[in-house]
Amino acid sequence: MMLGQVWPTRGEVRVCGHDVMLRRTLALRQVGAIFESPAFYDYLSGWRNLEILSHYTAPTSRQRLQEVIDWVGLTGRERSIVRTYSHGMRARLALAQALLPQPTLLILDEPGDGLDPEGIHEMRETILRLHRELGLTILLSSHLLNEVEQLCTQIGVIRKGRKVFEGPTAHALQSRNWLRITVPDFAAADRFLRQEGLIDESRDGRCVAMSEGIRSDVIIRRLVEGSFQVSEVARDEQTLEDFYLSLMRR
Amino acid sequence: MFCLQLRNELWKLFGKKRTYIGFFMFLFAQNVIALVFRFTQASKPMQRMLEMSGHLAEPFISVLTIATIMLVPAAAFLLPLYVALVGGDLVAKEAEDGTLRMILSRPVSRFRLLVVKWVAGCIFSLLLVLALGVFGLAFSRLYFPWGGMFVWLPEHGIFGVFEAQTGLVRYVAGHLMLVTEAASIMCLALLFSCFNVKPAAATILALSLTFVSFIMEHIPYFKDYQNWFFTYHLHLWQFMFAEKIPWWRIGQSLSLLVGFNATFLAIGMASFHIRDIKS
Repeated sequence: MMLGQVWPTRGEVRVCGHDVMLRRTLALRQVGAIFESPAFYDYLSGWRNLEILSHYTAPTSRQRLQEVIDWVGLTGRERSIVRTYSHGMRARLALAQALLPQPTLLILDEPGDGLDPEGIHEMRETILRLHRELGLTILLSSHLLNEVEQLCTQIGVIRKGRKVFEGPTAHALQSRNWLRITVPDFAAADRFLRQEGLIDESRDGRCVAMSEGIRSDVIIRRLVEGSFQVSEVARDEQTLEDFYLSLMRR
Repeated sequence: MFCLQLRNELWKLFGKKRTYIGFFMFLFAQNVIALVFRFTQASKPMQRMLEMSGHLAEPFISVLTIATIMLVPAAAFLLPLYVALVGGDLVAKEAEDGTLRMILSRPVSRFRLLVVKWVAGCIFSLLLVLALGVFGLAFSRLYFPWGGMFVWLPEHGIFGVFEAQTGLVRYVAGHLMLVTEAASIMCLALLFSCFNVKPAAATILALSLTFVSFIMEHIPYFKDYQNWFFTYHLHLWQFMFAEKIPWWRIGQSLSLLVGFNATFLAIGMASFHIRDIKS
């Protein structure tokens, strides 16, 4: 929808300040995009594919083509037929075509889909490099939440077509001072800590949420003083998956 | 920009092997027909017909006559098939392969994209007709001498006998008009290609509609309604071989073909514009 390929039933989509449905050419002038399974003209060379696709945006010089090919690491293979490319090379070619119009916004739709672990690692490094070296704003759409966690600074979560969260990733990962404690009788420990006013809630029969201003060493000390056999205490880090699932369950 | 995009469209089109099927089949079919004419008695009835009409047969059993005879079945059956094949591929194949998504992530309007494809399809039609004409002359020349032209097209009551020079002009003019047939069928296939269908379905739909129109046009009871049939206006190339060219009829058919093509393009455009492009 952001690229004007699917029509909205209502509402509007604005990219780079322009309505995609009404002023598509303006809106997409500085946008590059990569899809989960990039398709090319397999019977043509990588170079020819790049020429064809880039000319739908603006005339592109040979120098610019070569620059981008060098940047993505396809030098030496650009004249080969795309049919002979490996999956990783196709991913690099997809990146090259997205970078050709010198975009300010790069839309990546499931870029790691179908790649092996090595390929996923390479793609992740490339995305980070894009941000670092070219200063691009990157919009990543993915179901691989650990990838999102490693790559994104801001996230948005959509549930049944509606946005249910938008904010910094750090904020989503911030857990409410959850502490995982292992004691023989968790229920008794939970009651004890609540009576003491040290925790606000508990979950999963092993985690407690510390009250405002309470530190973990206070919890441990009081449990020991209350004759609870504490065998393990650890900070319970919330993953993006936990956060996502909590949003979906609401 | 438009020229660059058109050049790219032609690269895409002529980079595919299937685009050349038509050229190879013309090469094959015309060679076989010319051989059969040369080494059998197939030209005898033609000689008799010429002699009965008071002409000397020998000067007219020539390159131009044989090339024109070969043209009739090729224009009726082979040409529609190959242009429909390419027209049906233009949008539907790109949608099927996923390259349409890649293109439409660029700031190019669907209108412009379709116009570029239509022009590329017209160029292909022109080249295919050109190949048909050139191969016809070339293969006939291998086995027959240069000479006058004899054309008999009973459907339109055409019986033409021309000097070599005039015959060649008529042959070229006939091919120029044949481009309208090729481009129109290509445009019909392009229309179906814009729908959410497979490329083969677009080709088959275009051919089916053409053949249905052809069948209806030839039902004697529908003679009064011939003007309404698409294929009736595709035969105008044949009038280039009439002793006296019916320019009024040609103008009429040409204007209607422009209307047909504009309608096909408009419907295709509307359908292409409103459809969602998904993976």
